[in-house]
Amino acid sequence: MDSMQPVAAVRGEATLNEAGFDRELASPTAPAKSDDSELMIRYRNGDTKAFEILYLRHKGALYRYLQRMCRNKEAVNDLFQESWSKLIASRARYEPRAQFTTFLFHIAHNCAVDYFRRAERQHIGRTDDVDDLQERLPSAESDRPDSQAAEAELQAAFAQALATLPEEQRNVFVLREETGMSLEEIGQVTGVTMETAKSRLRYALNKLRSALKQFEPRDHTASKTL
Amino acid sequence: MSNAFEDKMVSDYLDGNSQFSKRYRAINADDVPADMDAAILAQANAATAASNVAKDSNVVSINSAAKEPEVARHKSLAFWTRLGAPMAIAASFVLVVSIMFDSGVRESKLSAPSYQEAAGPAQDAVQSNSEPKRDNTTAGPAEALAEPVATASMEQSRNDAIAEREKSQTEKRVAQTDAAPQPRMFEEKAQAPVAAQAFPADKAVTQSDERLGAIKKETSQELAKLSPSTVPSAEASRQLTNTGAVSPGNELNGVEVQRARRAQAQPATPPITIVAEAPPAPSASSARAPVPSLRTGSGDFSRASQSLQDRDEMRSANARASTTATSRSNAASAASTAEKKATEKTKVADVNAAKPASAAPAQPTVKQLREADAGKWLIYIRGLRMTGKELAADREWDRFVKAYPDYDVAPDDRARP
Repeated sequence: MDSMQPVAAVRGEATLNEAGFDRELASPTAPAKSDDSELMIRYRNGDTKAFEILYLRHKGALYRYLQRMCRNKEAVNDLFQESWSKLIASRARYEPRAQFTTFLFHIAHNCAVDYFRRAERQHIGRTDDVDDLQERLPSAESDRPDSQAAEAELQAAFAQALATLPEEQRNVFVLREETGMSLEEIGQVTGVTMETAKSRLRYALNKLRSALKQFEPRDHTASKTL
Repeated sequence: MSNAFEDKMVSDYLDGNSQFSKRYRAINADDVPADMDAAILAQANAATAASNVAKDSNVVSINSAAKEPEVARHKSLAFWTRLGAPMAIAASFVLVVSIMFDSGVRESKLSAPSYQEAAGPAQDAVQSNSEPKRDNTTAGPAEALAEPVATASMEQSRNDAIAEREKSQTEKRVAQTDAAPQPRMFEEKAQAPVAAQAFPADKAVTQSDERLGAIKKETSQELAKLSPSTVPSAEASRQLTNTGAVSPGNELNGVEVQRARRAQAQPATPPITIVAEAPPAPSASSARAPVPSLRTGSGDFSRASQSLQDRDEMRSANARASTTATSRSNAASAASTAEKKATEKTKVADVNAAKPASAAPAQPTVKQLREADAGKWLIYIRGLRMTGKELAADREWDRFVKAYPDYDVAPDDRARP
């Protein structure tokens, strides 16, 4: 059921190899969960090389997660740095009872929640984020062939639908996409039960499907796959 | 849309068979800025370095904390090593000084009465030899005792009976004392003064002892001058017994002598025979030297008889005074105890006073031996001055000068006043 590979694994995190890090340790195809815990323990004991490996493995997923949750780039950078800083600061309290990704994204989730609370107090609407997302989405009226234009429209609609999802639903969907966590682990990160996480995921998928439904008349097969 | 469709959609998504994931991955995403990577890695390295430094500092602090007690212990050891010996020496010095001071005080306390005890009676006897008149100091207690005698004259008969009873008890104690003699100095110290008496008991006893010793000495010396007509004591006692004043087998004390004298004073001029001194115990009297007796009626023995009369009066006064004091302090139980002690002291004093007088002619006293040698006498005088007894030393010096007028004493001799 949870056989889906996370985005980081699919993307291959090419930047790691390009940066000249250890290919074996930084290989996205071998992110053993037990290795993450061992690396964190090694870093807790003072091994900075272990932290570098952990960082290279999870920095992309965390950064994208934060991008999906908060599209303000400065805020994303701040949250990203704050999350890793908290991880560094709390390394002495780390115990390998759960996966490292759960530990890391739990910290990031809490940082994001705090950010949203501060943003609500400062009357910062999330529509800005949506507008920012729309700016980055490919234009449907681009100079492309029709098929490509249709695909671009579909992708833009999906991105906009994702951006307009409620925070909790988007959080579950993004966590699933970026880390490949199970619903139980997502519930641990977000502080809810597995059923709640599943329910949120269902709502999120429904809304995404509804957003893409406008493209169904032209492509019935796509609606089936959605 | 049914729930089954939604559940199938979720399960398909979780299985990875959904286009949502494909669409999500197609969304553009920015990469982490390079400076952010460098900043976070630097922060991680710095935190690790800081923790290592903290660990090192902790180790250092722990080591230093572990070394602190050692240093403190070493300092304390150095302190005791440096000051231990002087402190031990100082403590030893203080201990020795305190012991010496204590022993010196004790020795002076012990030696002072012994000098007085040893020198007192014989000294007075020598003084009475050289100067027959009694001085005020020896006459003082006798005069002081005259008043209690006068006040107790009404109870004389009862006191006589008490005195007889006490005499018999004293004789028993004297017998025990002869069996195991002890220095008088400790006996007198062990006995408490009688508070109910009009005069201090110890002082009165001491003075009476001295006076009795002087009287005995004087009597013995005068007896030595007598003609062979001296009657032995056994004969005198027999004569006195024949008169009925003394019961046979009992030696005479002052009360009995006085009574006998009174009884025999009724005829016109009958010869009165008295016993100058009686041994304190019947058992001991046979073993002792014969006591010289005096036959009154002749003018040669007027002074001797007067001395004996004085002694008898003093004894009876002591007994009456103690009895009077006892009758006055009947309410207090402690007074009775003190009275007993005083009575015993008086009796023992009588016995002790009788002993040197009877033994004086036979054995020379320490004082006589000392005064026979001028050097020893001077040493004794020096000792008196060293112990602070200036009056006694001056008196001894006067006597020494009289005894040895031609003896060459250095001008800076410490015996000189």
